[in-house]
Amino acid sequence: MALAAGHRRSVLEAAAALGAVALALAWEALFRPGGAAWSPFLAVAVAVTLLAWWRGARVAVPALVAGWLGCTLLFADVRRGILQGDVRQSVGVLLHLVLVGLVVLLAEQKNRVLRRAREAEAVLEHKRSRLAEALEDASRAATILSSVREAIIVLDLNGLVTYWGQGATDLFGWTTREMLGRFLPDRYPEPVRERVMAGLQQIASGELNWEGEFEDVHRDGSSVWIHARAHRYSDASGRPVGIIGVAYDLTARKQAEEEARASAETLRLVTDALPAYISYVGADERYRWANKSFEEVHGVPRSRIVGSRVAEVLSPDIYASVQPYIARALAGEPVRFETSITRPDGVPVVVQGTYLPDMEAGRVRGYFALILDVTERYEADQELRRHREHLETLVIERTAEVQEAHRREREHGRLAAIGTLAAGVGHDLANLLLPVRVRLDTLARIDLPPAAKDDLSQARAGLEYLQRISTGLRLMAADAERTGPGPAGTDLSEWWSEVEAVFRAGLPRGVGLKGRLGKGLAVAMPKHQLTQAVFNLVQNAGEAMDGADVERRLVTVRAAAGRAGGGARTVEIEVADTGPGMPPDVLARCFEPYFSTKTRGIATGMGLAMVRGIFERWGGSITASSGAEGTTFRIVVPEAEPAAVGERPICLAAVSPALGRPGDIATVLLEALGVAVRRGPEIADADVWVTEPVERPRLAAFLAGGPRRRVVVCGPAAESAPAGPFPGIEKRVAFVGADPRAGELRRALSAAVGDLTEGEKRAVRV
Amino acid sequence: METRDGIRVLFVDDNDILGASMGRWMTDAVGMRWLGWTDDLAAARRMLETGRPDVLLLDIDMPRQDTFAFLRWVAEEHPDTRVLMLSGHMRQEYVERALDDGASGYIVKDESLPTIVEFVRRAAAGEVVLSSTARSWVTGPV
Repeated sequence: MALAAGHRRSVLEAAAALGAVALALAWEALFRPGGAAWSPFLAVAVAVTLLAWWRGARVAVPALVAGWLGCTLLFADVRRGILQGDVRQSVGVLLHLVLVGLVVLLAEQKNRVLRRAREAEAVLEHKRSRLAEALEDASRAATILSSVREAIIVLDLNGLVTYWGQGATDLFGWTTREMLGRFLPDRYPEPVRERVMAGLQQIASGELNWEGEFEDVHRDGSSVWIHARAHRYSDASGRPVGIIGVAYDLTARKQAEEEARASAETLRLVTDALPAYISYVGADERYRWANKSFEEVHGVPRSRIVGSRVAEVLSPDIYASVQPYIARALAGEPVRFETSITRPDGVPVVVQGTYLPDMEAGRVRGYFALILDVTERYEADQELRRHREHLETLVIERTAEVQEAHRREREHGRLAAIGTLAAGVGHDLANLLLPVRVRLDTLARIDLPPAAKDDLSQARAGLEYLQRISTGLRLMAADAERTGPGPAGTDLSEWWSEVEAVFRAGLPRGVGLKGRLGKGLAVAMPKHQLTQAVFNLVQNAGEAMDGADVERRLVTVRAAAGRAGGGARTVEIEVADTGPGMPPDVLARCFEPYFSTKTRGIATGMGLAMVRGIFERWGGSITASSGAEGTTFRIVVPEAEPAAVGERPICLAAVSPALGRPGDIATVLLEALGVAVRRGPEIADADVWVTEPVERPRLAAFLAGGPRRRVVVCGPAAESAPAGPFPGIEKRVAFVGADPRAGELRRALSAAVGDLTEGEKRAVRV
Repeated sequence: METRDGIRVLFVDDNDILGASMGRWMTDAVGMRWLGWTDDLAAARRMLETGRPDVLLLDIDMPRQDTFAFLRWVAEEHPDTRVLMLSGHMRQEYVERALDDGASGYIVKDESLPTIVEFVRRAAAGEVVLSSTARSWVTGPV
């Protein structure tokens, strides 16, 4: 194009030159018909030369030379014209010069215009090129911006949106069309709007950058957590022109953080609520975390615990006890241990610890420590162990007792068999003796010769002996478990007269029996139990001497009054033999339950342990001593009250005459209980009143006469239940029904009489 | 209860020696009228019907015979006849049962004959009697 333009200029220049020549020829023809022919040619040559010079022709020097020559010639023509007076020629030449000058000026002006046009075209071309580059950059930038996922928003300084990227649309829901030209804060609800406004004002007032996290709002109303950064930008001259904002979606991160925070809070609540000391210790043995229990037990806030070394938080003795476990845990080994320590508050406890290493890529980052206070469990275990040991002891003891019970049961069985035998023999003896006694009594009424009377006397003595054996056998047969002491004790002399025959019959041949029991002695225990126990002692004594090489084989039973340690009256009974005595080891063990030196089957089966049990049951005791002169069993039992064994009653009972058969039975029962009985309406001095149902006031009046008075009512309770101001009165009245059974009446009367304490029992004369 | 010709006594026991001896003694006893002795309860029923005894001395342990059932029958059918149990046994349940079934007393056979006669008199007079051995039942465990 440049070449084409240059060629055109050359053509124009050639045309201009030809025009100038043509104009010069015309002029010549007009003004110089006879003039020299050199002037137009010279004028053209000068014009062309000047034009070439003006254009910067490379032939400037020759052109200048030519121009100079032409000008010289021209001026020469002018001068010649002037000199020749040819004004016409001179004007013509000057006109030629003016014309040539005009041509040159025109050419110059044309060239200047062309030059400027070329310059303008170059500028335009440059700008076109810049614009193309700018468009290319803008296109590239738009592509980049559209591919950015972050929300990019551009505002002018007034807060109007000038750019709303796809990321912003994705994040907030509004489209570019909706947001362009809109005042950005307008899309926010309060109080976010204020915050955005404040941020824009902050930037407008001079801050270059603004950054923050806040909860934004999506177009659909949902919450969007964003991190926003705004930057004020300027043009090339540095003039602020707008604000570029970039927002990142933090919702997922915020949710994760919230979940993590909630999870951490839950973990904290759980661990704080756990009755355990939980902590996390780093590999440097510094606490990273601890729960509330841990904090409380050490009395140090968690803020101080975290970061402290284990050795700084734990007391020296506790640290010394757990340090080996810490070392193992930090070596990567899970550790479980139990140890006794003293808590920081001074309480000794037993703890169970678990250290779990926190491993990452084979490296121990720390360990989790879980410490449980197992003191209660430990104590419970200890208690359980003690109970178990106690239970085992009990089992052993109970087993021994069961074995003893079995042994006693077997012995009881033998005793029962003996008792049955004795009862049968006693019964048969009674049946036989009664008619014999009848015959003897009949004979006694007859006037017999002296010899016959003597025979009769002998027969009666034999009968009495048999009678005593019968009685003794009955005592032997009595059931120990079903017979109580009763109010009366056992008169020893009377008892001895009944049992001596049976005791003597139980001794081996050649063994004598001697009783030394003074009158007036009585023991507070049942006759049959005394019989059974002493019979065994006598029998043992006899067996000890059976076949023994002793001069005289004799069993002696003695009794004497005594005093117990507390001053209580007692009776001492001795059963002594003249045998060889017992070796010390036998003597030491003779009261043990299973100990026996006898051949089984010979004895009654009641061992010395059971004999001792009988006496202890009635408040007594038994000891044994043995030597060369024989063995003596010494029994101490409480003495019975004289009133208990005498004929005198211990209290007075009034039995209502209105009672029929129940009154009759009550009378005989009360008499058997040792109570004086008055069968009549008088009750003023009675201790016990047996009556039909009576009015309550009368009943209460009787009871009010003494705190220990008792009433047995033969009738339903509803008819005479006492009421009124007599607290505890119900306990003093027994109701047995209108037609009580004998056993029921016996129990009520026994209870009424038994309620009279020893101090209140009194002897009365009827 | 006692008639002018004495207390009518009937004796039921399987011991013939005792029966005969008791008869001889009672016959001679002042104020007693001996109605007889039997070892058979059926015969005793007939004798009760005919003799109308004031006191019946009744043994307990009689082979193949329920003396307590007989006692209840007597108490029911002959309420005017006092029954005294006369036994060689001293058992608590026997005493209770005898009293519950209507007996007027319980005499163990270790008592002397005069004592037995005295018990008969007291029973005929309306008392309830227990011999000394039988009284041990009262003092037993409640």
